[in-house]
Amino acid sequence: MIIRNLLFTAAVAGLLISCEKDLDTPPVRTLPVGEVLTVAQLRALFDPVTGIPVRFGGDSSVYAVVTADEENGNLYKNIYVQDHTGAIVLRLLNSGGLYQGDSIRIYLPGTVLSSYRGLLQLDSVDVDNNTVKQAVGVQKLPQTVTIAQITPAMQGKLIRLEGVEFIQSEVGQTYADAATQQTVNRTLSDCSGSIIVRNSGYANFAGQPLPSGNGSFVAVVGQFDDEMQLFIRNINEVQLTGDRCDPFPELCDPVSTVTEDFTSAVANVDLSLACWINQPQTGNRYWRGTSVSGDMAAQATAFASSNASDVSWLISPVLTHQPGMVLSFRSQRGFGVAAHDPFGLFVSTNYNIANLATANWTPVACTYATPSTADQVWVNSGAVDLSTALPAGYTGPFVVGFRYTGSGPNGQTTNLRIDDVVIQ
Amino acid sequence: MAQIDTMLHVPATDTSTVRNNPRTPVYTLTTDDLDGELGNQDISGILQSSRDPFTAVAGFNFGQARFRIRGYDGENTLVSLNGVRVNDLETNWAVWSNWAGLNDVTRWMQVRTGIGPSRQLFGSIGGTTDININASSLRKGIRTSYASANRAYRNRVMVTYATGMNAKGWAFAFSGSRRWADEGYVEGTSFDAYAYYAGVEKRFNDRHTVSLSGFGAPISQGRQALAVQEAYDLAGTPYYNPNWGYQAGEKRNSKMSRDHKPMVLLTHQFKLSDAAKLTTSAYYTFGRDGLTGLNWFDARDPRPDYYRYLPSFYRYEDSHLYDDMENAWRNDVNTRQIDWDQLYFANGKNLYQVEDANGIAGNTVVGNRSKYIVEEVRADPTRFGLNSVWNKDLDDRTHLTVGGSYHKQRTHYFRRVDDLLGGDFWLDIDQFADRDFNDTTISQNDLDTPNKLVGDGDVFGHDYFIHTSYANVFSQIEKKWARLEAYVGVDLSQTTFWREGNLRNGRFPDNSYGESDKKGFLGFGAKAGIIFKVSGRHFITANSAYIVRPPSGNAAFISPRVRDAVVSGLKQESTYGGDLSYVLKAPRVKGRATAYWTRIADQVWNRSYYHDDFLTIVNYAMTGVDQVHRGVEVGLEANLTSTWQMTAVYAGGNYTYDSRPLATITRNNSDEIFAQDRRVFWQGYRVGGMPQSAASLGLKYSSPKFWFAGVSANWFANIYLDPNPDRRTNEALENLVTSDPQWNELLEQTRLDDQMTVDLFAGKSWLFQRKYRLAVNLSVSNLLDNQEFRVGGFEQLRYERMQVDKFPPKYSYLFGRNYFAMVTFSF
Repeated sequence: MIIRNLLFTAAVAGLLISCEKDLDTPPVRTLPVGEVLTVAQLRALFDPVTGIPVRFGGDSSVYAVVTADEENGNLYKNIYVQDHTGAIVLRLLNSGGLYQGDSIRIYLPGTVLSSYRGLLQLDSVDVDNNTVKQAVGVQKLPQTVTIAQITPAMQGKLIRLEGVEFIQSEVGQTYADAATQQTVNRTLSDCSGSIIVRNSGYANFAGQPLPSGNGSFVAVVGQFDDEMQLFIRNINEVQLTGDRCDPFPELCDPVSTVTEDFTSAVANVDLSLACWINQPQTGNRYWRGTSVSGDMAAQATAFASSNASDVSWLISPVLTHQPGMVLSFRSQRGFGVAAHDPFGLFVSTNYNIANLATANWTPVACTYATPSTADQVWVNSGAVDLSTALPAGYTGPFVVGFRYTGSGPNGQTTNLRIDDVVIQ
Repeated sequence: MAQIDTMLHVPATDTSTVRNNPRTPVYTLTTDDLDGELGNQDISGILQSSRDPFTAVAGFNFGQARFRIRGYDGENTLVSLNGVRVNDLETNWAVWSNWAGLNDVTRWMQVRTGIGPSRQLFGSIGGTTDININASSLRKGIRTSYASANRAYRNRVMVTYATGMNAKGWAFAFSGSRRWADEGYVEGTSFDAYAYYAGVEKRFNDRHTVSLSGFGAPISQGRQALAVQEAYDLAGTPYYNPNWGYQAGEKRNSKMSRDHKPMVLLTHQFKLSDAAKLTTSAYYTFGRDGLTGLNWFDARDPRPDYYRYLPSFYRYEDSHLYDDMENAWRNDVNTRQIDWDQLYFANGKNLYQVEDANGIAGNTVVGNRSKYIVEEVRADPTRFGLNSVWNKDLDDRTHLTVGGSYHKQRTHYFRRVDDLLGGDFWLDIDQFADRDFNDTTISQNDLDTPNKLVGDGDVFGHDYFIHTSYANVFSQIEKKWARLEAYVGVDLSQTTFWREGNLRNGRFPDNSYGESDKKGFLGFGAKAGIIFKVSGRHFITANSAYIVRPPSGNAAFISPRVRDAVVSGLKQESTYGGDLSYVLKAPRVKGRATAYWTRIADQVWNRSYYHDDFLTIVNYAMTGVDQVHRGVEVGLEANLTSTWQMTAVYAGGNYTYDSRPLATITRNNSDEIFAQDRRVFWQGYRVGGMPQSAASLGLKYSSPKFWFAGVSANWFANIYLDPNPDRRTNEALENLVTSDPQWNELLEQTRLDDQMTVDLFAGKSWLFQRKYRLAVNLSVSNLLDNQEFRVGGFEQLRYERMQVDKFPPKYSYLFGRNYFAMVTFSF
């Protein structure tokens, strides 16, 4: 009985067993080659006079090598390709999938050849549906040129510049604004001409400081209206370590006292005082002369600035520290914005102009015009002991830095003035 | 005009939520199978002898709308087999699908709601369900059945044979079933499940009985995903499922769950004397728990309902494109669903060169690198344990229960390639790290094998164990007097958990590999209750409990896939509460009315998702999450005549968050902390995901001629979606004033409409030759085909402060009219 029932159970259970179905692999699909164009022939299809975009229909292809990709975040949905006849930027519908060194066939149907603010581009490229990789690891060598040779005819090309450097006012600043992910234009110079280097805030080098030296620089060429631009494809190809063609001014020899009442300043003109350094760290605002009831003083402000952030330094001549050395100055606010405290006082023993952002700046506590101080009221610092901010027993050179921090777009636009600086 | 670059760098990622732990069930798993049959089920109630009308109706009629008794989720409800706790040690949830399809075996379960006396376990705040799977407990004979349904599956066959205890003291039982559907109620959902059970029991003498039982349920199921309302509207159905697409003309689902966790259980019943017995069980369980999904690298998001592919993304920007996309969504199935052929096409020509592949210098591999793959995320548990309970009648009024248990679990979490979709290899590096850091080492998922190439079946991404051990002792004493019964119980436990990494990844080279510190927590519980007999028909009962338990292991780790750090400020959760009931047991009327109140304090909440302010994947961990559950339950069953029976049930709940938790937001790819102790203003928000109130009115006719039919009308109300914590912070409201529209959009909690359903059930049975029984049962749910009933969903964790509707909630709809029909033949 038990056996019979068991057999019955097993037989019914056996009916349950079935096979899992396997999925089919989709049939292979290919992109036909059709008519083959060179990059130069492709570019020639666009009529810059009419500016009418060219939409591709019938089968045709272009073979080219990717010279710059999106890997480092500096380019997004933009890829530069080149063949022996020319170069062009591809604008992708979706990010990703093409890498530097890929030799690709671009299947043109669906793409659009158009001009954006002077830059010819092949737009609406779908990486999956418009490109086929032929080979990988094909490296195009950059063409060595001078800044003067970078003209609209060079659009899209991979180039190398030799003997170039970032301009003095930008050295020490970062490539872009990594914190707010803002794109920033920097200026590269060979001391006879200059060109914009455009850096994305999303680039993985956005937060690095610009190098101070001179050397070789590899990039691809872009354009915005009449302005030629360079885009870095790999930060390791920025090799600026040699001597500059436009050397930084040297700091004056150390002195033992400094007295400055800014009487030589000119109202609303950037300060230029012997042995003093007037230098922005971010943004492009300098300390300026200003007249306060007929008396000249130094003033910094972010008012009407479009920079996301303005950090501007006024730096004293180099002094030799002696025990008991004190600083005195007076400060005042104008058009003060509540809760905006723009002022900072620092000393540094290793500042050398080029290293503004990276020098060791030690903050010094002092009495100054704060947000709780009424506008147009001078605040005397009294005797500020500088030795507390310097190593014990220090008798070497140092500078005093007055720093202004503000932001026009964020309404942090207090005017901050200082006057009657005495260090002895 | 300023220069506009194509620099909107928004990496493709899940817009909604990435659960740290794929095993945390999204919904309570009372299986689809059970609710088809629960009507026949003997559900023991508050007084073991009587069937509690509230519990029966709540389980059967309310389950479809995801009603949870008293609002408790699975971690607050214990499930035991032969008295052995089977709730997962790490998540504390019981996974019902582990024995789904064995209805003939699990039919005789005891369900108890809330706190109460138990002679097997200490219990939990939500109640206990105990299933006896001993071979002798199955009804003797053969039972075969076939069921047809249009729910998760369409067909079910089941056969069960039990010998009963024979004269020589042996009992054998076997059961097997298959449930399947090429496509269930929802398009693209396939179902293929088996279940098996075998049990043998030997009664050696009056004192010793030993039983050995083993079971398992391999299930392969294509899942449904929730979508935003726009997608449902465009697809023209509330059952739109973005998970599937056509591959070479066949439907393929990207989200396949494949589970099989067999268990063997050995139970020894030892009758020490007429007044005392000792029951000891040992068990072992192991198996696989996997869920597949698409993964992709440096390619467009292949999911059809990614927010950038919906027409609304262009509503304000480009009306032409909006129209094109709307048209494509409505008319092109490959827009609306996954275009598998296109994924194969893209993979088949993505030539790529890997230098120093597999960590071998100079090893250059060139081949088609898959841009898209199907991966399987696994959480395979292995567990064993020992459980012993001693029961003793101290005198005829006093019963003592003493028990103890030890359990150890190791869950293996890893990811493997399920299908390269036509490519040659997948490169095992992290996409987000690759973008965030200018360092090819950091993006490696396995530093010991950098540039690892993986193919079908290979492990990649993450690979680690979570170990958990749990030991407890408990004791309970019950005492009876003439008009009063009372019990008191205490429980003491120790839980230890730790992580063991099998890969050293580039983001956390120093704390991703090897064993982490062991985190140990003491647990404590105390409970007490009374039954006061006003008369033989009227009873008053009261129960209360205070339980301190460790945070669940799966919430304790900030980001266990990449490192072993735990949430800071980790401490035990404490739960306390009680209920007060009036119970009526009249000849024609049975009923119960209960008021309850419970507070669950100091919970941990941990999720990972893409944060639009920090522009990367973050781990969002909250501590100090408190909930209060309070409400009333009323159930009444009246026999109007000998054939007509009426039931009325009402559940009025109010479940709210009752604290302002502190959140720590950490970058997933480094230990950078974006925000610490961010205050989340959650006080007063409703706990989401279930109707907080429900009611049902039912009428049943039972003919003396062996047939019955019944109908019930059900009402559900106060359904909320769980609040997204970060939207309820000062930081989210920064710079906004109360009159800005964003203020309310950010703060208001999503509430779903109140809804009604009507259910129907009927059955008839015949007996032939006094031996062969044939029965037919039919149940029809949602008879009126209400397709506007949103039963749940979630607020997306990703949000944009200034445009809240950019990431709208995702919803899930109740199935329309559906049925379960069964023919049973037994002898």
